[in-house]
Amino acid sequence: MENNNIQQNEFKPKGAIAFFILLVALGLIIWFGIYILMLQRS
Amino acid sequence: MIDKSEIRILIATGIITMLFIFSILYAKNSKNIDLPECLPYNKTYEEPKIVKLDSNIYQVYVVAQMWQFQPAQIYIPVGSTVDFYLTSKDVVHGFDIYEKNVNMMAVYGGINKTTVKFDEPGVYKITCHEYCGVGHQNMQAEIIVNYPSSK
Repeated sequence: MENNNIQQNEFKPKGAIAFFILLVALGLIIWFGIYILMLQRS
Repeated sequence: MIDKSEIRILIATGIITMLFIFSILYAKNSKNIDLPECLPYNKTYEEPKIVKLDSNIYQVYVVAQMWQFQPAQIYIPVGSTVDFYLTSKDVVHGFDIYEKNVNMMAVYGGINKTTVKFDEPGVYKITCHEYCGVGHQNMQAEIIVNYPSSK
């Protein structure tokens, strides 16, 4: 029982964090890709 | 008490939001990128013409109608700054200049204005990108930016 509690307290959703970081990075790449294209065309 | 991860996420979100805001302000102020304007309607805008204000400053009054733009060919020298005044004589048309930040609608009873600088010589196609009828795909015009002189 005590072991279970320790495990729950130390749990870190690594997969979800990695997925979130990748999602944000993808958003930044798409946004800045279009942004740089806009600057080149000005 | 706020969790450490939540604080990290809040900081990251704030940094990314500021990055977007500063990028937009940089484009607006340093690169002089601006949005098109809507002007009050006036019948005189329905007459297509090219007005030369200075050696490299032009006003072009573009009239869109099924299925053409008038004037269909615009000759300007390199380095020209052009004010486009756009309207339509019938339905809604699109106005897209290839390789430029211009994407406007030509609306009957409305005038849209944008300013573009042409630093590179070449032929810049204008296309209608709003479906306007059976001849839509042929609705094109061109801006001929030539050097050293213009026609």
